[in-house]
Amino acid sequence: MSGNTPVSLHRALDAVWRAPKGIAALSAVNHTVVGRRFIITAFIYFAIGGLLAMLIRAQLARPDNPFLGADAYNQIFTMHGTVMMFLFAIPLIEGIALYLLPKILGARDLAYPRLSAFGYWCYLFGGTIILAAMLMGVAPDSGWFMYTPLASQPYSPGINSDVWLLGVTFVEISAVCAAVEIVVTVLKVRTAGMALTRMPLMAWYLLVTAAMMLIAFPPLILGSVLLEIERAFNWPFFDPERGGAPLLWQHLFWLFGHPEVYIIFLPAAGAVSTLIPVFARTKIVGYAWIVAAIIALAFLSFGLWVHHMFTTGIPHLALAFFSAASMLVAVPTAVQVFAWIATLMRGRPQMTLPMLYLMGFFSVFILGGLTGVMLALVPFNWQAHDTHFVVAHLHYVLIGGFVFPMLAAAYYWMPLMTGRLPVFQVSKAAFWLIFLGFHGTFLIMHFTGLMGMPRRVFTYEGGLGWDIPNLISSIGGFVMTAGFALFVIDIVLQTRFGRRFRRNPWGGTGLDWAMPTPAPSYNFASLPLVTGRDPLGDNARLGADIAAGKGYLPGAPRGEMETLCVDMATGEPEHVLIFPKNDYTPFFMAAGLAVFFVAFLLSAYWIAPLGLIIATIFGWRWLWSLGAKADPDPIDAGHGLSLPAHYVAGSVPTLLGLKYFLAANAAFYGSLMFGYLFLWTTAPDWPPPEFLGANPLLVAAIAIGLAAGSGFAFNARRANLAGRAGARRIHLAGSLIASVAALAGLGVLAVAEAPAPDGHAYAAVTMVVIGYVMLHVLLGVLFAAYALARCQSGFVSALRSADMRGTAIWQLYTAITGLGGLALIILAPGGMG
Amino acid sequence: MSGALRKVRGPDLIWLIAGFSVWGAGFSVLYGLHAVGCRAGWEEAGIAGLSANRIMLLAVYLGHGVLGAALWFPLNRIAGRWEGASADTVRRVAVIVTLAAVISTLWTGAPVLFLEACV
Repeated sequence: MSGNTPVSLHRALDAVWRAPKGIAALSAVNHTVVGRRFIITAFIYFAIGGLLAMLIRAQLARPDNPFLGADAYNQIFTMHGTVMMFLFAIPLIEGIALYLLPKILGARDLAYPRLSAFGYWCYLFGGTIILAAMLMGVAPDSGWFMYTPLASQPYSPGINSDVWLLGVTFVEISAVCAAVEIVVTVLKVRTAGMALTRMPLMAWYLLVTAAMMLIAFPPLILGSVLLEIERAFNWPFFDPERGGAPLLWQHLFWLFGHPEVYIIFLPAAGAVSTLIPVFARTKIVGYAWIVAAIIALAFLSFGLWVHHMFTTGIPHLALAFFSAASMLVAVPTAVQVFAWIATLMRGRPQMTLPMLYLMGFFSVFILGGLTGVMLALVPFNWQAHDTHFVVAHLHYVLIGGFVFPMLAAAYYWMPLMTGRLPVFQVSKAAFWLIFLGFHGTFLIMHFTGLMGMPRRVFTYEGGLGWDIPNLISSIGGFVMTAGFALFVIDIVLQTRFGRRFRRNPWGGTGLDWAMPTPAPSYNFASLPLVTGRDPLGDNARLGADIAAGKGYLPGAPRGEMETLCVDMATGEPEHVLIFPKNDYTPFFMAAGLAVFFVAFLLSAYWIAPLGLIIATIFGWRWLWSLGAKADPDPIDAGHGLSLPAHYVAGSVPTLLGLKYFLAANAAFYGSLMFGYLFLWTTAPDWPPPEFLGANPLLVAAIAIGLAAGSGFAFNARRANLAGRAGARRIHLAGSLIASVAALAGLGVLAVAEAPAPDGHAYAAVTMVVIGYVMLHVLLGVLFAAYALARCQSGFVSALRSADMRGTAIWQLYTAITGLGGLALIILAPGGMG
Repeated sequence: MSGALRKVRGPDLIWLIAGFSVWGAGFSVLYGLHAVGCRAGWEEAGIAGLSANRIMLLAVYLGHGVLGAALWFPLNRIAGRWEGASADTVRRVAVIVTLAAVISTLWTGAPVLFLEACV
């Protein structure tokens, strides 16, 4: 682009991309801002979780300690686990992913900036609910796993458990949003030439992690919804006296809970795979093997959940399946470890500060992995179950496999955020305090557990041999805390007084170091053509070329925020993604949901729908702002490349995102079906005393309504492609009317034909299936109405067809799950005899 | 043009997850069928010294093992035609994960060969 200088390009781009300040910052959606917010908030929660851990260790430092009572201790250990897992670990991963992904993929932002902003507000509001409850003395107190029947209404009558169920569900909305964001961004929003196999390994790790999140979180959300409904309305999903089963909760929880361990570990392993080649001054060994190992790990991690339930009386054969899978999962983990060791052996490792933390990771995580293999063996598991041995193991895995690599990653990428290098002496002291304090706390805890000390007890008698080990653990805990405090001080010092540098202080070879530091709001002044896995290693002048506008889409000549979308396999540019401007909609939509959750928590059920209405209005507004009223001209991307805008492209990112949301939704639906079948085959007191009355005419009407809703939507889409506006309108109206008819039929089925849901788990779960289908049909009505309004307003044409295609996809999903659900609840009673 | 070389495209990436999808299906069906079989009393009925439950479990176990192994043939045919920047790595990853999935299927389901079903 002749006439452009790096400075003029910077000014032009920053004017378009700069995040607003003051109160307007609430509207910021840029990935750098949102990612940074996630990271900072997560570390604040980490500090809170750490303080809670100190209270736990103070209480257990000596026997018969009167420091905390049982009730306070229950709240504290529950909050420690909840905060660390749901408010620190997962959000930190999300924050790092949101912050880093565009930078390592050569993009200017994520696929859906507003979605990640919405996710942040859900996280903040949900976390605030949980934290506020703690300050008011009504924090959750049934353990971070919320096992029933302890967490059920008769045994936890206050709002403590409700705080967990509603707060965590609110936060998990954020996780699902982030997962969709990450998957679509990695698959589509990359720079030119970045084929899937040229991506940095970190992107692979985040892609697989996000895919796991899409499948793993819905079972937890379903479990939380069911338990909250049981607590609020007395529907007995988990009550064995009315056909429910407490074990159903454990299944749903650990269906999430075990993959969760790998969801936390994989991004950290991604950081390890990124840092080791940089500091070993070589390329990673076994790129393909590592990618294969990540994929294998993702799948296998879903076959382990029952190893948390080895002592629940499940038949030995089933235990053996999960024991075998639990041992097997060590293999892909080991493949990565060996690849890292081989990389270190091939290179010339430098013991920089991030490497110091990586060495800590190796020593701690491998020990945690070995005790994991021990616990995978059923006979040993029975002995060690619910003892402090398990507590020690999980901390070795989580702190070793997550915290140490994240601290290494923090030191590695902080210069990208701040433009400054750390003050090394403080950070080294911090490392040694954390490392020694950690082993002081948890190494001996293995033996405390093997000597029989159970977990989740607020005190113990003296003279059992647990006194000294506990005291040592407590001292170690305080040493570790001092180390983390030094880490925080060091980060503050680095931010304020760190040494400035020009570019690429570590000698990284990825695109993240091919931009000015601190990273500008737009990341890249132009988007480079990538021809290998180490773009900066291949061309040391790449950063200067990018800044000079020698890549694609230089500057902001159209005043728009633009980046490239590519073919997901080859990385060939397909279209130009035009981002929305800063927007308050995500904030207000999340605020609407906050109204819903808080109202539900306070049993103000008549206010709760108001929150949903607010959220729906802003959701409508969000979608309405997408697209254009005229078919746009192709965009000159530079280098002779002319590309369409994203809203006239074949693979519109919005639709891809919708499909991944539906994949998560399908995981929720599948978990519901699993719950139904689990109760049917396992719970006592089945078959139920009363079945759903299935009037054949009513059932047929609902089925026809569901099928017609989808069929009309597809015909409308076809008519749109053919340019027949009249037929398009008629078919959309048909889809809307058919959905309304199905909704009415389902309403009659629920009110007139279904048994009372508080009588038996069968009736309760049947009602939930009906409710699930009704909700989707209702949203189908909104989809059809929205598409009609968009057509009427000129947003839709044969080229701009995303609204039509989105409606068709939604209605198809609704028809499939609706007809499947209907078949289950109508036909299952026959099988029960 | 069945033998023509072509670039790796998005739909081809299904081969990165096909093998372990078979593993996942086999694992889920084994676990679910085992629960149903024990609940329904299939352990009591049977032929040739094998209970109906055991026969079903063996069929699922071996069926998924064979299905996973059979993926090799279409994978070999399709991946052999890939060319371009991604071809070698995607092919290598697909082969590794497909083989790993077959081994995983045989390993995790192996307890049906020797353990009591409903104890």
